[in-house]
Amino acid sequence: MYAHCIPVQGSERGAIYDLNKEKILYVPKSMIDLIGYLKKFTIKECREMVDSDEYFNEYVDYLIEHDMAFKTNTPMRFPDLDLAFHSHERISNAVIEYTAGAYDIRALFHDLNLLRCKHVELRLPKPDMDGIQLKQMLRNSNSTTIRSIDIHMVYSEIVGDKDFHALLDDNKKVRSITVYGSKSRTSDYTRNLHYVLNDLEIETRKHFPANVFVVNMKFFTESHHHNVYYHKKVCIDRTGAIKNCLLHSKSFGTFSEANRLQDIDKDPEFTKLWNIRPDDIEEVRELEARYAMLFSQDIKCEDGKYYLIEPSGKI
Amino acid sequence: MANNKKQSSENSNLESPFLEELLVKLPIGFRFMVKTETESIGELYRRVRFSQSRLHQSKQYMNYASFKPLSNILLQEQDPETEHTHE
Repeated sequence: MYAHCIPVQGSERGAIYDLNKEKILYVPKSMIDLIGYLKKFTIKECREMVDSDEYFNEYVDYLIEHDMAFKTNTPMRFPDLDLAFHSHERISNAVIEYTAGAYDIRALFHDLNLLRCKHVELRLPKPDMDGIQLKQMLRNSNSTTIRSIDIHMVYSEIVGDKDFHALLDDNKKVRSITVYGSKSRTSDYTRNLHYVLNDLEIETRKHFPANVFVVNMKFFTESHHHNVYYHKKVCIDRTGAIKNCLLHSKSFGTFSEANRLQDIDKDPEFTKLWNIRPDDIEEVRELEARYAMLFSQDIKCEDGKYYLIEPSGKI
Repeated sequence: MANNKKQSSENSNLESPFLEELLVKLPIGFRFMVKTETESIGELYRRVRFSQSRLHQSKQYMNYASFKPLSNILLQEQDPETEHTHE
């Protein structure tokens, strides 16, 4: 197998993650077993182990045809991919829900800079800021380590199309703007400015869909060691409460002058969810796509086993 | 026709990345290639260095998107018919 094509066994079927093409190929469990044998033994030895020559040839041809494997006399020259995951950020992403004057947003951006935060999702659930205020708020992200900002905000009469374009021109860190509850304006897809009919409050209450898979090298390696959804993430709700996720009720204090974010990653209670891997969660540990899934549900621990707390009873 | 296209490109301030002497030798498709600032194309922002942090002693932070979704929000494309019924 090519190093970037990694087989994963599930309870009902197997999957081969092609991390270069960023796709998953679902295969029978027996093919994953065969790939395991082919790593240890030569083709000739494997052929002798397998009952049917036809079945063996079919599987090997399938892997080669799909550009996932090749024949070689020197397999030792093609080592497996190192699945270690390292990142230098103390907090890599933040979800900020903000209403005008709720807390000191300048201090928050300062703290995120100290934590080397890279990506921010900014939610503005109330139409209480005009274009100039938005621009001023986002200027706090200049001279920080933040590399991208995605804005989700409710439709406001006082922020016009020109204001959004001025905002995108002024702050290149803004990667996308999504305006909810709006049908009177036209989206500009080239600039990632979207007007949608959806209700922001409803969208924020939904879990990340279980049928959406994220296949890439970083996601795959991170999910082997951490919970990708919670790992190095901090969320601040509209009242300033510090959380692991805005869907959770549990908070770790309110962001204020006395309770800053600077040492949040050193709180063992806050980081508890970071290291619960998909392999540790009972409902998902046998899913073949578990290294490409994002679980936004809270996690409970019973008898040393982890379970997802899912209101609808399904993943 | 290619020359007309080239002229219209020049008129709209779109510059060819190739010299005219080279374009004569190249296949006709090369005349349709124009230079554009990466800053003007949202998808290419990742190549633009623009940020700095004195605290971290860096002036060359590049913009790029996260490799994973940041939160539970995921907007999926709606069927136009469904959208119509909402209205």
